[in-house]
Amino acid sequence: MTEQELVARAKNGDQDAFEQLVRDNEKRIYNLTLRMVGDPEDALDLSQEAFLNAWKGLASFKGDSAFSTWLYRLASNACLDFLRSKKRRQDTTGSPLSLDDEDAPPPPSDDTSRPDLQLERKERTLALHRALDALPPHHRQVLVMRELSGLSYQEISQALDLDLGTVKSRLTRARIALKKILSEDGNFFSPPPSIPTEQ
Amino acid sequence: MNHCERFMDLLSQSLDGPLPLEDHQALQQHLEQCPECRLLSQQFLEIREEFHSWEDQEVPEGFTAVVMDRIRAAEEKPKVIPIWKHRQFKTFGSIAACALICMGLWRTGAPEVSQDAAFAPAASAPAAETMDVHSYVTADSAAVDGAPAPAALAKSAEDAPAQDASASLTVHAETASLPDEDQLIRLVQDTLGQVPGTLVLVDTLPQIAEGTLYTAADGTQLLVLSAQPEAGMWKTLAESASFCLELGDGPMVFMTTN
Repeated sequence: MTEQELVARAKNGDQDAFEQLVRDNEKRIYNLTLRMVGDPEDALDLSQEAFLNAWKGLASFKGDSAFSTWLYRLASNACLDFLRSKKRRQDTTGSPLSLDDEDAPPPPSDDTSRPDLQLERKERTLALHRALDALPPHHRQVLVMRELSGLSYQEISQALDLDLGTVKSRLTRARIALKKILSEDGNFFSPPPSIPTEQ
Repeated sequence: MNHCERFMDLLSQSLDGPLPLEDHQALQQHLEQCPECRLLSQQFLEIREEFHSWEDQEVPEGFTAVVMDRIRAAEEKPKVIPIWKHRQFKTFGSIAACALICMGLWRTGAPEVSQDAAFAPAASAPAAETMDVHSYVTADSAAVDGAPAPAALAKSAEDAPAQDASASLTVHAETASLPDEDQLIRLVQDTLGQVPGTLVLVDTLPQIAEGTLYTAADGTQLLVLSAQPEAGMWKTLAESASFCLELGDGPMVFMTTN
């Protein structure tokens, strides 16, 4: 059964059809929320919430985009709300943003024969997680969608209700901001080769 | 730098797919001349490489089952909005406040009956705040508000034991603490002889009690409303009280703080 058929059935109250839609999309939506908020438990809650909202709001889904794109929209909006609320709480309590080692997904498990490379790899992964966590949510949103979820400009544009030009420029600004944070962190980029000075 | 900024978008877009030939050539030409942008290009590539090395995480087991269980539970659950969360509940608070003001004006000149002994605090209790309680059936209050009384409320008014609507009771409540549940329920049911659907206006009930829903052993619920009006929420007292009664699980009595 195609996605369109499943959506049509779900709209008529067919829970089995909706269950299939959840199965088909759970991994991408869970990973989006995980990359957006960092914490696996929060990601689980937010992704499940996104599916519940999808069920409740099925009547409003007109099919102008793919169902998965609509889900990305619901999930990323839920994440943005969560992050804003989290920031407000942190602003109130004064506790800084932090990303524990446990929060970051493990780096790829290659280079097992080289502990030094493994350590370096882990450092880079953690540095990128920290940088992503430090980005403003709307920058993080487009970067995660593009780099990790692999959405096209068009899909991001539909998911975020932005025009294509805004998607491109926001991605540029997000990448520059991320690069700046990583440069300041000092644990991601290899030091540039020194340029010999002429005497 | 302004010169370089022109190429930032192209540099970013070049990561996502091939550029049109003209843009590609312009970017390459710029990169050959600009070491800063060459470095930035290299850093962008490093970031992308790291991102792409991240593997998708497996979804925790039972994810779909949990979602579907929640959906089924939501579908089976009757759609009753908790009364204290409903917009009209707030409306009722506003109306009650209005009624309080009206009745406050009305009772000037009315005799007061004091029954301090019934609810006197323990001798060891700290200095207590006096709480004046005035009871009015909602049907009467609706009349004060100028609206016709709904059937449910009118019935309550008819069933109510005969009493002086100006009956007043002085109760002691410790400041900054919630009134005792039994005390309040008894106050409404026994002492004042009120019936469900009654609006009880309490002049100095501590604000901390606002929003509290008391439930007596017989199922009667007593709701303490905020007397703070909210803009745009004015509706007739009868309409709001009737709504609350319809939504409530059983008999209800309403109180409000001043």
